[in-house]
Amino acid sequence: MNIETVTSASGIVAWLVEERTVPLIALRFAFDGGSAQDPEGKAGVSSLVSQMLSQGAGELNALAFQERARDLTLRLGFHAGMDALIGSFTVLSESRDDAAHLLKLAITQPRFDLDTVARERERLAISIARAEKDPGAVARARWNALAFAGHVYARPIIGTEETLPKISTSDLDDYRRRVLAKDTLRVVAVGDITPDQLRKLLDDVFGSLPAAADFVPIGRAHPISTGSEAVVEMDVPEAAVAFGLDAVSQHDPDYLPAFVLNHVLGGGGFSSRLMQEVRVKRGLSYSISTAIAPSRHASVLRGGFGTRNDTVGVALDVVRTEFMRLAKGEIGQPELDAAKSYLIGSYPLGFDANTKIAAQLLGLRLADYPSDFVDRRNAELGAVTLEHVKDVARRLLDPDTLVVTVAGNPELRSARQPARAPDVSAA
Amino acid sequence: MKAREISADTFEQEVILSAEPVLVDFYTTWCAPCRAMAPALDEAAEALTGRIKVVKLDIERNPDLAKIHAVNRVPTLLLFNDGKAAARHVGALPRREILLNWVEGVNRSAETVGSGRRATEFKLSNGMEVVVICDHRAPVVTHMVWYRAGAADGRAGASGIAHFLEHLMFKSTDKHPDGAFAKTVMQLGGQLNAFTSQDVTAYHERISKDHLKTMMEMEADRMVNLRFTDAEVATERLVVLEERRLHYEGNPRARLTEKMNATLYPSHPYGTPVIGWEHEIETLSRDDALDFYKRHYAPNNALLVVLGDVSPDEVRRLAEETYGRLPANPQVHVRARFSEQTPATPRRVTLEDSRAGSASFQRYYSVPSYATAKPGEAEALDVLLRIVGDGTTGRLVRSLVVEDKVAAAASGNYSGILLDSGTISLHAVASHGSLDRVEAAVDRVLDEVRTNGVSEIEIERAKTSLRADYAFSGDEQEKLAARYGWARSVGRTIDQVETWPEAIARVTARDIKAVASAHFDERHSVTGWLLPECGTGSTAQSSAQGQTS
Repeated sequence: MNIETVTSASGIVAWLVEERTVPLIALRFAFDGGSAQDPEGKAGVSSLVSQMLSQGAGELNALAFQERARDLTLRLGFHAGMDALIGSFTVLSESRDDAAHLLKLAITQPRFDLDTVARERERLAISIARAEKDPGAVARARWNALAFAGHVYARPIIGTEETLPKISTSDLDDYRRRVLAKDTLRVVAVGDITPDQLRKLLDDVFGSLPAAADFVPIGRAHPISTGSEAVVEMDVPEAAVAFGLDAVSQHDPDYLPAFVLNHVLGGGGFSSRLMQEVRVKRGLSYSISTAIAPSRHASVLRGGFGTRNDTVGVALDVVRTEFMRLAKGEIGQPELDAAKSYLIGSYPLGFDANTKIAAQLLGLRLADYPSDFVDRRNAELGAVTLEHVKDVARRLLDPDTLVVTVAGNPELRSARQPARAPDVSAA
Repeated sequence: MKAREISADTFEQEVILSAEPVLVDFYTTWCAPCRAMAPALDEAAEALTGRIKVVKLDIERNPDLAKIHAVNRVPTLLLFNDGKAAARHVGALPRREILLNWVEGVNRSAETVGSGRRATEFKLSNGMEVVVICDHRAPVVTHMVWYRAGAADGRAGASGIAHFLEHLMFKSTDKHPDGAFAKTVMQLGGQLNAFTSQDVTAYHERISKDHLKTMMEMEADRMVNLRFTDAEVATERLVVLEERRLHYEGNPRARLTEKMNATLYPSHPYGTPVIGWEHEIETLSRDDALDFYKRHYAPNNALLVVLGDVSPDEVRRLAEETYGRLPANPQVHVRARFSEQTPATPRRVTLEDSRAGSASFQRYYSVPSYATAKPGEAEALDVLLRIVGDGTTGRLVRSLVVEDKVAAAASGNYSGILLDSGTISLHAVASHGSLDRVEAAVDRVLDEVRTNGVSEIEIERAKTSLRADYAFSGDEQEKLAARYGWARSVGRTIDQVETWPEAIARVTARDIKAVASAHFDERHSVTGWLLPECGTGSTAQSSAQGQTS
């Protein structure tokens, strides 16, 4: 893949893939920060800021701003992750420059009009209320709270009923002034734009931002390793289960073996062991999957599924058994080869659209990979050996370290009985 | 070379019959922005010489042409390609670069994703239809097989059978036993999935182009050689029941939608959910699935869509070597659906559920779809609903959220892809107070549109937004392939798919008012209220109160 590294006059670095088949430009960019930089007791600030950034700027109030975006064929959105505030800018080539100007306004002169803040706060409150009634979201939130207790990752990105009303307009302004800065800005551009045009656009849009962000330092987080189970009582026809344990970071030599291992365990859709054992053979769930979720300050292997309340214990036993089998080295060369074959062969599928390429490349930049990783990645995956995967499985997949949370009224009859965390009621 | 003056007398020759694209500046002599743009227009004419012709037309002297092309403000720039207006800009572009940037941009989009022809279509001797779309950006293909059979084609009392069969299609054939289909695709680095709708069931793989023939062999194989055991049927039934629990039983909004559809279409099969009713899924048998399979799965009831780094000739050759070997099945009939005898009366559904989170309002209208509409009617509905329902700039959000503050969100959408009916859906989440106020506010917005129509600027904005949607969806293989698949499955032509942006461009204010009057008709609607149970209140309400105190 032809990725050009472009540096603007003011020193902003972007990766560029020129592509002119479709007359559009996809720009994706990220500032470090995310919800991890939300002030203490004010979880949700980054989410509210990211909603507000497309709700008016400069002379344009929210409605005028959105109308202008529509007229320019601009799709502009921001969202907060745990570690970064991510921007997405897609526009037809015909109005690239005008759209870029609008983006500049959004990130340098956002308006936090009181009535608009009130409206967006209410929307976020509705999202929070919905998440609190959605068993899958409840199980995942409880998992983070339990596994990362004491760390900022324990907090929900979107905030809570308690924290949201405490966020003031000046919190929003403080956050954007602290976080939107050039030193942690990462930009990728894909589509109908030349390197010179991109250099100019980078300076026009981002050039006037402060040089350096002002962050609260954050320590490394490891999920609790003693194993734990917690139930959030909810009256639902299908219980939601979240499970996971500590994994390895993206630049650890064990990462690619762990990545392949995850594919075998639960990352590979129909071909994965969990899908075969839980869904295909036993009909216990519609869907079960796992993923390695690396973030700036932690890395976990986590998964989830839904099942009837009376089959939660049975299904969890199946999950634990599959962790155990892999930990004991029960994996052969053909299964490893099939996993590698899929992961290698499907890699180009993520690069067949401008918007997909942009998303992929931003992911690599956020994890500090060099741009030639795209071309090296498959060779490195191909070199992963069975011995290495077995070794990683033995160290990683200890079912005794699994942190499990359930939202529902589950029967855990066949599950072991470790120290159960106190139940929390969401009713 | 300066921009030349043309008139109604020369318009046909200079613009409609021009071999090259033509940029027309509709202007008047008294308009200051027009005068401001004149030098830039001349410079653009110079820069574009030999590629795009640039002309100007005084609308005061040629009022009929202005009317025909719906020019109500000056200046308006129209780019004509093959005699048709391919792009429009209302307002001045007073600098050379801005003007050139716009012209080049829309000219390229007209060539590549707008009016440009991308798809090739042919039929195999067994009746299987094939659509090929070339996209050479990456060495991959999207391979989709669409069966013209969906949930609405199942027998009454066996709801969910089309979707159940879709699950069973991943079981066995002699060549690919015990779930080997998915494993083989993945081992080749491919991704696969399938979906069932009321009218179609589709199976798709995305994979390196080297494996296209293998995908064709495998899909052709399971089109006629599928087998599954009673035990597999029993286990898969549990999976589907879990799927239903996950997506419906546990989700109040989905359950309201299900009840509203049942009420909107009381006798037509569109009133039955695609996944089926729980008590009927429990009874689905191996014979039910095999019967549906034999009745509907055959090359003469299937459509192949291949999109990616391929040529039409190559796809034709491979399709003939694979699907082409299957015999047509004379048992497959063109489906015949009865038409809905809609009770012409407003209907209501209320659902109380503690998991609702916040109170919300929905309304559905049964309206024509692209397949059933009069010419231009569905396009007008698309523009109308963008004007009314756009989630950030539409009439509903303006009125309910920004001005009256009775809702936290409000939007609306027109879905016209189905064979027998389209649907308008409106949605609002209550802010403070009751759903009565939300509903009254929605009705006021609709009354206003029915009575006074919409403004030109709203129409232009909506058209720009729809045109952008069309171009953006052309960026992704799956979306582009699906666009052709949906349309061809319900009898729309490739030409209709590819000239959709032009059809949208032709929608007038009068068309929009007409469809608003005809189709915002309560007698063909169902209104749904979703309420958190009494006493639980809504989190949104308490939070909103919290911040004002």
